Amino acid sequence: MRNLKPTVIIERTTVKTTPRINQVLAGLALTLGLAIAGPQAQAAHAHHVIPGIVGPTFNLRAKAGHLSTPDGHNLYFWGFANGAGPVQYPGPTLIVNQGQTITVNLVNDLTELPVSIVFPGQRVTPSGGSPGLLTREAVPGGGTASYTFIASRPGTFMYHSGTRPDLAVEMGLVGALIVRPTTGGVPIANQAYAHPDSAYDHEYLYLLTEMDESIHTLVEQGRMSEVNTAKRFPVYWFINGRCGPDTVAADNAVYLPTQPYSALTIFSPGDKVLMRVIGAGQDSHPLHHHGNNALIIARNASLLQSTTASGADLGYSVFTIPAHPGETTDALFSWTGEKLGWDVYGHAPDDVDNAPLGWSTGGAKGAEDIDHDNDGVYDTIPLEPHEYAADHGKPFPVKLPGDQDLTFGMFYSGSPFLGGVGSLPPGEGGFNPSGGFMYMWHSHNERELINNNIFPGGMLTMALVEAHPPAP
Amino acid sequence: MGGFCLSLASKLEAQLTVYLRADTAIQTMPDGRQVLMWGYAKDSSFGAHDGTVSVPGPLITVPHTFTKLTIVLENNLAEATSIVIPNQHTASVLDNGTPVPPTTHTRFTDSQNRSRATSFTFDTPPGNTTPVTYVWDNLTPGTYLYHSGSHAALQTQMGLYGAMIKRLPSGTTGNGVYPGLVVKAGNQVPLVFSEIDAEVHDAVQAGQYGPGGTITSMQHSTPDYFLINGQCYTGAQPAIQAGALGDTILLRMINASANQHVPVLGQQSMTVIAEDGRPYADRRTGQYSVFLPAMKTCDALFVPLLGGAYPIYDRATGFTSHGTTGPVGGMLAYLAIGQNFTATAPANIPESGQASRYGYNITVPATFDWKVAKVRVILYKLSHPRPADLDILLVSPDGTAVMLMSDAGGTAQPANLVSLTFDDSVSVSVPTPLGTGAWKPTDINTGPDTFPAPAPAGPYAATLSAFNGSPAAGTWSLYIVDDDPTGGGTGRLNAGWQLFLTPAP
Repeated sequence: MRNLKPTVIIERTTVKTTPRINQVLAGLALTLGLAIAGPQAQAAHAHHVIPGIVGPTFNLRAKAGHLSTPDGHNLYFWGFANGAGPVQYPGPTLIVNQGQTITVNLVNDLTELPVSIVFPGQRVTPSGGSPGLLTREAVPGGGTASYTFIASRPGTFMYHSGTRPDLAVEMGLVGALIVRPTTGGVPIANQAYAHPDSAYDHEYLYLLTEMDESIHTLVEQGRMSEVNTAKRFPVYWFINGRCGPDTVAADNAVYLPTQPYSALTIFSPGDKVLMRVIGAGQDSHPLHHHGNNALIIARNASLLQSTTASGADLGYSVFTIPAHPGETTDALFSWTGEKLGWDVYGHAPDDVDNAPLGWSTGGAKGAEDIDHDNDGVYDTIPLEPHEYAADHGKPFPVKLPGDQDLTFGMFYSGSPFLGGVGSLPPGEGGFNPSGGFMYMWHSHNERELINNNIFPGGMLTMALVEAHPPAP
Repeated sequence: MGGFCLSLASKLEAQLTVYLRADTAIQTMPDGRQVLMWGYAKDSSFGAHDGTVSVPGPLITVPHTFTKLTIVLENNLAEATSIVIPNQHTASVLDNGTPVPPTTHTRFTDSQNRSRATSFTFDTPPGNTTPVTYVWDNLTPGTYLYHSGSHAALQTQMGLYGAMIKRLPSGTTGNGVYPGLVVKAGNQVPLVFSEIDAEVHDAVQAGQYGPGGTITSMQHSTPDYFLINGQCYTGAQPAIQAGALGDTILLRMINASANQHVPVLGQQSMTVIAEDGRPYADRRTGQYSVFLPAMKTCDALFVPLLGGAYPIYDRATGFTSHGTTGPVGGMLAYLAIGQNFTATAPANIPESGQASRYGYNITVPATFDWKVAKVRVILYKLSHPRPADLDILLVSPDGTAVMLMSDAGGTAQPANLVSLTFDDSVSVSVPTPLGTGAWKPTDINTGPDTFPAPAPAGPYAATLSAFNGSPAAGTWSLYIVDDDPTGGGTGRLNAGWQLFLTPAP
């Protein structure tokens, strides 16, 4: 009887051995104009790196443009462009190495207002332009200014216009700055700070902002004198410049030409995900990442350490990251399915344990015949990478209804198990061809989960847990 | 025996008594709007009415030797008021000398017959002719907010708040902040963040606030103006004198508003050390911003790496004054950090004529891209047998010239290794005989003193404030001349000179 493996295992194996299905389903999603980042993202296990432009010299232009929101609206905004590239929201993520001397040359193509750039946490030497309240400014209509600083410490920073920031930040003149740690001038790979406590497998950006539609309309109509930022009332909320569900679209999605940055977070069980969270707007946002707690290791690009060599020993575990205006937070997240009480891979009890001897009667004991869940019997199916051993083989506590009794979400793969896909009725599913677990990360201020009064949307994105690919 | 102990205890319990009067004032906002404020004035005694109403109220600093604070309140408002200090223990309240429970709440019965409280503590009635006294003992050191404990949603909006600072009881300097931390008094900077919703103030003034009025409660209040230490930034305010390079600056940040604010320090990071007057076990280093919810206090240390004017501004919505119609910024202030520039080489002064270094230059690098708000000069170890022979002139990069000293110090008493500090804020002229110390610039001979080129021709200014507005960067020149060719002997500026510049915003 034990030769009859549960369906889920078979299907899971099928997917893993025929990547063509991935491609077909991804192609289907693309055909429907519903590109999500997942299928076309980097190969399942490569390190995710935050996209951006690399220093040490940057040429930014402040320009006006329009961004789109999922409710079909578009908003006039001011943003930064990478040189002659399109204006974008947020501005290009600037990626530099610790110790570099950074120069940012600004041209202000806006007609309405001077623009400048401040880099909180950096000692900047501005030049050119005209004097302003916080730094030197580029006048409207092509004015220039330059900013130079030494990126003396690593971490997650931001930049924004220092000229009327109450209005400029609202209008979109914000961006992220990432300083990578170096040792002896050489970047330390996959580490946020000098200490290994900040090591990660993937890094993702969560730049949180909000917009008050009425201010953008007034500015677009040239009614600047009617703008009163003291009375701003945001109705759109963004992660990386996009409102949900656009947040899960791929980087550089063609239908979001001024909003290039995805916020879909993809990782495999046990991977360390570095969340670089930036409160880039003017309100606080509680970023709630479902699935597990995250360890906050740094605030304002400063490792939470009791001494300079102690590592992130003052880090603390939260399920909601408070992102305050102007503040940056780094947190480490990982997920294994630990303590769910069932085997997320769908290893079935009668398949993995062979009482009473612990391995197949008459067969040779294999290397994988280990008592993973410590129940006195050996398992013949090995643990998946980072699988929570104590739940190995524990049954799924739900009897799945038949397809005719289900309504299918677009991310349902047809199987409840990680890496598994099952048969789906024609036209159903298709957004999750690799059988990942997909679930929401979002602002825990539920009022921010709307796009101008239309639910769902706003400050939400998805996390996608993908099974580790089979060993080559 | 009991009586003895009691009197001994009360002697040890040195207390600070402050007479506050809650009263009205009109504040003119940057856009010209006149807003009714309720604030506190510090009087010399109950009923004296010799203080001036301010918002925030007077800074109350309880010295390190005191453990107890007494506030005697007079209420010139039309409604009852009181004072609370969150995170400090109100020991007692006295109504005209008679103790009443500090936990007394004024109550009223609403339209649905519910008994509801309007105060956190005993109310001082409007127009009280006898004092109501609030007493805090065993004060905990740190940074605190005092504010109205009555009808608090409105009264704190109207301006009834202020900063209360308790110095650490131990230590002899009186500048203890928290255990293990002493900061010079001149380096302790209180920053009170507040807001004004002008519509509410107008409604109060017109008698239109409350049930039946045009504004019935604070529920929908949104601020128009954002202030630090009672001021919206307009460009007219001077920088806050926070200290000099090498100092440790303590920022005592207090949010007296109903919304959160996030002070950001430009150009540098701080170490956040305390919250609500309680020091952290682990200081938060490397922070360029501080999250400051409503009614919160936070203390941060800042060790400037360079002289200059450091902006501190709100990164939430407070960087505005009533939208674009108002002037530049709301919650913005500058912290002025002065810097010394020193030259150490000696200069020989001949029997007559110009000294060996003429002008004796200090070049301030171009990175000091700011204008000067204050200049102080020190001449190190000056020796001369007849000081009155000396004329000493300081010239700034833009050519402004100030006579530091001319014909002063007398002819009879020689000066030996005297260090002279010139500072406008000192009221005493350079003495005879010449002595080490701080003096104001002193030009005794009213007749013309001439300096050979390259020194500029006169007339010369008499106070260092003439330099205010000069660029810091560039060459500052000291010209020393012996204007008496008939004897007196030679002299020497043995150890050079120092220029101390403080920036304007």
